[in-house]
Amino acid sequence: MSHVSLFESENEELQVRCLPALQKSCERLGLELVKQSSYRTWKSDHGSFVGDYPVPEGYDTKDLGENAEYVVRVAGLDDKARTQKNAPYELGVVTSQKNPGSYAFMYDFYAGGYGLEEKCGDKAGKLLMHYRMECDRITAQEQGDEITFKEQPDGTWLGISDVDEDRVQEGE
Amino acid sequence: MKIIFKYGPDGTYSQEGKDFAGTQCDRAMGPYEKRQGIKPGARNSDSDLADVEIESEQQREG
Repeated sequence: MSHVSLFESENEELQVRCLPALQKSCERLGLELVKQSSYRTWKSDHGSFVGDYPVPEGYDTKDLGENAEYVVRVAGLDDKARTQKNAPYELGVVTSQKNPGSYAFMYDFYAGGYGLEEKCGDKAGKLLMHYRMECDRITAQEQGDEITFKEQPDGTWLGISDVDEDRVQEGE
Repeated sequence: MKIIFKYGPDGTYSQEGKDFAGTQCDRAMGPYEKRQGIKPGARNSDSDLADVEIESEQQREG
């Protein structure tokens, strides 16, 4: 199998540019961000891809699993647990070809990435959601404000910030 | 004044209230930009990826 897909939002607000925010969002989900180029896929356990799934446009088969700038992986695993057969796959943070200056996510979603999607969500949606939350938290802190986050029963999150109205009117 | 943000794991994101467009995150540059020497105007700043503390990167530089 070779279900390595590219995940990238069309929404500019959800395009990944801020590594500190990505690192924080990983920590919130039991993941960790490390600096390395290779990430675990089907090929890691079987030596090669089967070639039964289209390679993301703009990439070559040889890129898959090897083309990351950073890697998101499940935290708390030792080297043995991380590399044994059917250990969680890993998510490559790759340079976006569509949106220069941004990162895209690339990972093998076969069998839910053997636990990866439990952490990062379908199509890495949970990771992207928490990334945006961390971006807003950083921005709020820059402006001297705070955001209180509350998880909703349906899995969405609300963030509430009380901003000084006088300061807003002054255009700060 | 309250600003309310709504985040969904399906890629939905919205906010109600004052425009809360980010500064820090939106200025951050990716490696592609840096390699190409692209200066994207408002996003260009001293705040870039070099500020990120990632263990293996620090070890490599050390």
